[in-house]
Amino acid sequence: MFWENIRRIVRTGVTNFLRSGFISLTAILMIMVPLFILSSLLFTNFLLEEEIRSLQDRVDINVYFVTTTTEEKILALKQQLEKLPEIASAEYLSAEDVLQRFRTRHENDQLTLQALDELGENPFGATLSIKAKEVSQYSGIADFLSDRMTDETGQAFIDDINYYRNKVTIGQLGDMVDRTQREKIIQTLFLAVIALFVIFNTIRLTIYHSREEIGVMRLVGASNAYIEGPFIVEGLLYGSVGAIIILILLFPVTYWFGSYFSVFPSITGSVSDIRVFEYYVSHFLYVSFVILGTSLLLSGASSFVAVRKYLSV
Amino acid sequence: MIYFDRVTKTYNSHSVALDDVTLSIAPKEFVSIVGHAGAGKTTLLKMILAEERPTSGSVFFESQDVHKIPRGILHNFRRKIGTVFQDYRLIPNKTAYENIAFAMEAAGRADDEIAADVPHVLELVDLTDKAWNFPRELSGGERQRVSIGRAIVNQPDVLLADEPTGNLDPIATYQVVEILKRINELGTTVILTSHNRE
Repeated sequence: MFWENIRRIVRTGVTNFLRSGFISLTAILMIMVPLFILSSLLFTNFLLEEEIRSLQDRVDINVYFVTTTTEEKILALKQQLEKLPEIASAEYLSAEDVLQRFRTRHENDQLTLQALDELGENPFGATLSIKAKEVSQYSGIADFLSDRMTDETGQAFIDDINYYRNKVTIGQLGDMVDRTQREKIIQTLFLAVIALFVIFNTIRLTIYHSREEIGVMRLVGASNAYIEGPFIVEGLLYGSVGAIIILILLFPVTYWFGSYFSVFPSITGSVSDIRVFEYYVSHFLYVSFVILGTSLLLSGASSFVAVRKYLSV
Repeated sequence: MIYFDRVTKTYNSHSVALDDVTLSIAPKEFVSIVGHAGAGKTTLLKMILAEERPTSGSVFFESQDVHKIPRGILHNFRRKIGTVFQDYRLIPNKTAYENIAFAMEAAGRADDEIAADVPHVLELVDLTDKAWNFPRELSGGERQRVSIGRAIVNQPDVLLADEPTGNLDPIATYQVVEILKRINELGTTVILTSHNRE
């Protein structure tokens, strides 16, 4: 009997959904609005993370060693640094590598190259290019390095650390990343509340339309579960159809408008390397799971809560 | 079978629907309750269905106080009673057949029973040719006959008919009353309310 009842509940829910054509269509359109906002939020968060990552990638600390420092000492420091949890990477460039890079960078500047040749020796020391996992960690790394400006014998070891020249900019960037992530959480919560409110009230209105019907069902002897069931099925259908339409619409929307989205256009400049459409295609299952799951959860729960109100006959 | 023990129902100090009513109804009786609008006829029927609670007194159905039945199993009790309303109260997006079948489905009856009994009931209320029409496609008399079909399909012990002819023309009224008489002859207790003495 249990499965028989389930079959009847599903059949009744589907039939009601199809027969209430205009109400079903209106409910689906209403549910699509918060789902579209939710999907925009997903893409905005993706862009935000991409752009933050891109900005963080541009930040590093370069440590310039005095020319007399041996490679062994620098590699020992590199090993020490790599043991620190804050370090994402530490790249060693020998004095020859630095010279070679300098020559490549100035290959069209004959005057500079002639001046370099006049010196007769390599004026550059080796460098370590260090990246931290978080922007806020550069200050600590710089302090760690500034304690090692001389070696254990008191001889000059590190010539310069460029962090102190870029300190203000790095600090501002760190503050901006923190502030943006805080705003992202508030924005997500705000939109989640709006989505819940819109979906709940849409479903409530469709059930309000059937309130007398619910009373009649009670009076002819239907149990609460038997009355609620078809309304929950109907709610789930509104939610799933709305979510599927949004998932289909996102293909053309992300394809046509994706490259115009940018969170920090003034900082990152062109964002043509961030393809929202490609992100959507490659994360289709994840986006579908979030959109469909949220929609089903909210519409099913809303139906359950809304129909309860009219079951007190 | 049904017993009202000094039942009073007051909605507020100016509105007393039932005042110290005591009555008993035996099985297979055909009882007509006649009174003007606002006399408390509908309230009396709602008491039997446990849709309204008395302010004082008790209502018994086969020695069970209906207002002491837990809400969770009230639907089982209501399956013993068929109800016909003046305003029909059909489910608008179900056909005549489906409205009648719904009462059987709600009572947990099997599909083959539903397929056998619903056409029989439609025949009894003379609506075989309107089985697949929605309520909006039926006349008042036809809607009321669907409502009677729904009320009797589970072979209830009692049929409550709350002004079933109130919105009907004389011919439809005659048809409905004839159907109710036939149902009573088949052994169902019928309680009919009306504001019309005839």
